[in-house]
Amino acid sequence: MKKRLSLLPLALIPVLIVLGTVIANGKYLLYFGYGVAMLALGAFFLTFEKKENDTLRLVILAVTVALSSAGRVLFAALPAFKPVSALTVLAGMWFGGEAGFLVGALSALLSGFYFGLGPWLPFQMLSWGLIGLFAGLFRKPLKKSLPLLCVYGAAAGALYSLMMDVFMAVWKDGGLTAKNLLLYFTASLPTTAVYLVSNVVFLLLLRKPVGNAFERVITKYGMEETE
Amino acid sequence: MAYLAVEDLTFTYPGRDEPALRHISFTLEKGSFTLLCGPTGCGKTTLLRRLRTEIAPAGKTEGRIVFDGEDVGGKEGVTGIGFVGQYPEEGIVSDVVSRELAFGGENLGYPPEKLRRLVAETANWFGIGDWYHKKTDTLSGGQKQILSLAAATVTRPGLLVLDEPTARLDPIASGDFFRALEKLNRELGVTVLLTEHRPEEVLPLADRVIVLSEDGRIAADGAPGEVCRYLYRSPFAPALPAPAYITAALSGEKKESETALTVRDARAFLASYCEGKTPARDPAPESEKAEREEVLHAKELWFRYEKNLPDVLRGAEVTLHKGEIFSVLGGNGAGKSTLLRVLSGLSRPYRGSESVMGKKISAYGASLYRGTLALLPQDPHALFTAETVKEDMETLAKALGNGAEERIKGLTESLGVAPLADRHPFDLSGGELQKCALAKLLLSDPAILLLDEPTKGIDALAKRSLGELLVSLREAGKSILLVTHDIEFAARYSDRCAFFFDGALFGEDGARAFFRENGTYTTAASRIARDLFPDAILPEEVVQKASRLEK
Amino acid sequence: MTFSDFHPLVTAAWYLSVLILTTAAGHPVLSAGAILFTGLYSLPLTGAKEKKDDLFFYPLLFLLVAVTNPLFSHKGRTPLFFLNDNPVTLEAILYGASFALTLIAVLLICKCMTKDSSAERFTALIGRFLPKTATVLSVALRYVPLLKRRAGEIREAQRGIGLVSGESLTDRVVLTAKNYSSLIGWSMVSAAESARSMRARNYGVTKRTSLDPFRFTARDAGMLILIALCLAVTVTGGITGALRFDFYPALAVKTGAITAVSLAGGLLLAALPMLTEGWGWMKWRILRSKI
Repeated sequence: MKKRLSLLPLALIPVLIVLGTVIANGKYLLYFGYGVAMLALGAFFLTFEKKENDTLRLVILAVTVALSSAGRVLFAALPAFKPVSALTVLAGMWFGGEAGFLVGALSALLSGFYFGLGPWLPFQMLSWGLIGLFAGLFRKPLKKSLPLLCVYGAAAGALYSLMMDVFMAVWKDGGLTAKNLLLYFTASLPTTAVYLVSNVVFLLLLRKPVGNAFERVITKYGMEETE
Repeated sequence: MAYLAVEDLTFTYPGRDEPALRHISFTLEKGSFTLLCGPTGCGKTTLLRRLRTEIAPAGKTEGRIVFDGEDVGGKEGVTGIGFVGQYPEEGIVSDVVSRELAFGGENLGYPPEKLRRLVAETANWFGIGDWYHKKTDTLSGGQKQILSLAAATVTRPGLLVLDEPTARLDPIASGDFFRALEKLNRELGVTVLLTEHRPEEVLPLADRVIVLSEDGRIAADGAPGEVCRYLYRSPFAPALPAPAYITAALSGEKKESETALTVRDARAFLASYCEGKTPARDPAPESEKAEREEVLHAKELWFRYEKNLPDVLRGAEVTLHKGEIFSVLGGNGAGKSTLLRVLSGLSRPYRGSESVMGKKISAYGASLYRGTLALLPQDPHALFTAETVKEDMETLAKALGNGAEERIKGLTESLGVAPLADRHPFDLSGGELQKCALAKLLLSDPAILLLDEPTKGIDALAKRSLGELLVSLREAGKSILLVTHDIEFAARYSDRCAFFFDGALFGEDGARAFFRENGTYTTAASRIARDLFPDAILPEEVVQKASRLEK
Repeated sequence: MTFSDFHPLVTAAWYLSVLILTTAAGHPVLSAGAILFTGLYSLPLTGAKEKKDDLFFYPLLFLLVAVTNPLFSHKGRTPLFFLNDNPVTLEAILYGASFALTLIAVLLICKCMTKDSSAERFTALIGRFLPKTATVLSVALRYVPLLKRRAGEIREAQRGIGLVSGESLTDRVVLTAKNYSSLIGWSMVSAAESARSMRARNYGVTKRTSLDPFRFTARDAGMLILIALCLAVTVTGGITGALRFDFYPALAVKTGAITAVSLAGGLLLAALPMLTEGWGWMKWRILRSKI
């Protein structure tokens, strides 16, 4: 159980979000959101620092982060078709939730440096991190069933898009209402659809070869597959 | 007391019955420079990596490793032993040079002030101070290896262990690397232990050579000259550098004569050997003007990658005849690979024209790569996409159609890669991978093969077998154009050679004439014997001509 | 002397404070100032084509946000006309315009941040506090260009042996994904080799220290203090309500001496990089004219 300690603060996020919307809705919700995101990221990385970690595992995660960044360039011919989420999900499934979070969050950060940083960065890091984290937590069913994996990928795309909508709504209108959220969500529907489809397509195309590559490195170098 | 003592070391990989290393015992004195050699698979790398517990392969170790008076067989964090591997790309782990240099010291928890001084001092000593703020990826392969060497020495290890550090470098870069290593050894007294499959540059620097046999035992151990004489009588004679080969062959059983390790010594030896003897009259060199069918002809190729970048090809003219091996030689970064890309139609020149088999290259489209032409990339890793060699070939064959599937069996057998069919491509040795890559290339049964540095990173024996394979392909009617910086390989196997410089081909000629006319850019054998036997370009030719001398 | 010559800590502090200030204050004067100053600062950093695109993009964004805000918000006392029974108010349009200014300011600041705070500056910054994360980032940064290069090699190698994709989108996606998977497989082998190179240099043997390749000098300290002072002045103004600029229910703008001082602080903060750049340029001219 000790190993999962770094994930504990992340479990508090949904609670905080609900709490925030109830008591701080309005002017301060934005600061509250930033506060929660930064705290969650900070807590995660600080606990990650404290843990014993195999060098090979670190390098593999680093290379996976680089791969997801490079992937954005490789598929540049197809706008909005990016393998970042798919790779994050697969990393989570094979290397565990912590690894998934790390890959997701750092991919967002690195992409920011290459493609432009923005005020949405902490939320982007957090969303992608969570996508990887949950992929790690539900690795067993996700590995077993391909349809479920596709559903997860689609849900991850929708969640990511929703997060960005919430961010915009909070920032601009200074609070969340059902109405403005709906408006933003409708406005971003086409992008959401592309995220959704591209996640599913990439998971279908990459699951087997990438899964095998990860599997190989785990067995060949006797890497531990824990979180 | 010995600095490093390996005592009766036996090492077995998990799940294997036969040990990879058997009863290895040797000692190294402080400040010595030792070359470790042996055929691929003899356990050289295993032995080197076993010296540092952190990077030791998994397996069972018997015997002891004593470094600086301490048993380090199972100990981690032995900072006295530095290690440099053979992969320039993977060896570098930081984005900027400054971080790469600081990396080792940071790991040992050095305080910043101390580390800053060590880094500054090291960078200055290697003359790489102006790289300090550069991104590591902008460095060339040779510069990356020098950086790896510098990074390994920042924490001042007393013993440097290097695993084929120049296997992936061209001769100029590898010369630079060994000069830096020699300086470390001569001026700072760093003890050096290294493996190298191109020993000609290391032998003159080494004071000791240890040879491992195929089954992981020490086969020979002694001064370089002595070991060279031993090797001359072993199956590894072809791997000997020309000076050693020629002098060992001609001195015969005379024990007292020294084996030459440099061209200068070999020239002196040959001069005194031939003194007073007259060369047998050579037949006049055969004319190499016979008209032959052209399979590829490129006229006035001009190419640049982007509008604002300089030209890489500046009016290059290339002709390849049917059934020949044509080698284009030149330094790294000269644009040889670009030439191949343009010739193979992967990049388009902005001026000039090219015809393949008498037809304009633009008329082919994708069908060019299905039976007419195939390109072997510099790194064969890039060719493989499946999880076994067999699966990979089958996938390609299916995509190609046209009876390619039936060719798999014959090809894998004739190239000797059938036993590798079930292996993962990335688990193969350099030589094995190169052969599988060739097999894959031949699936489409192309008439023309374009090969980019086919000998990169493979050892002398693998080179021989690759060369013979190319010759047999030529006999089967294939036309082969290869770009390489491997002069000895080009001299041995090509029919024609040319020199690539300033975006165009120069000195195009029959291989023998080409190396005879070149003064500096020629084989070691030619440089040794050019005054006496101008036509000899291979060591065994020199030996043959010298031994046919008449009193 | 350029702004990015300052220690990463200084530039990071500036970017963070100016971003927080611009968003938190939401004051059109501050936003407009930030746009002006960072816009000028970004001029030498951006290429000709990018400038042209920006000149088109930002005004368009401004119009879009200003005009569409009444769709999201019907607050405000001064209805101009009704659309589908919903009032379109003057205040909503003004708020939209003001928010658009803030948005553009933030985007511009972030653009400059992307241009001059390279990832290695960031890694150097976090190296001391998060050494392991910094290592992961550093390795990732080292691999990105390598992977791009290798992806190109794989694509060409496959083409050179006859594996060419068809013209259709599906074909292209499938082939690119195939090459991408093969790159991933190759990278795993490379990662093992890199891990070996790190372990051979004693990675993980003891607690790491961090050598900062950027030196923190007195000049850096001076700039940091200046940033802190500006921030303090403006934040004080903000807390005391001197920076109030309300749109709803009706436009209410606070003016006065304190407001002016706080605004001046914020504007000076936003202008710091531009001033540094200008000062460096002038100094250079003077130096050169003396020679």
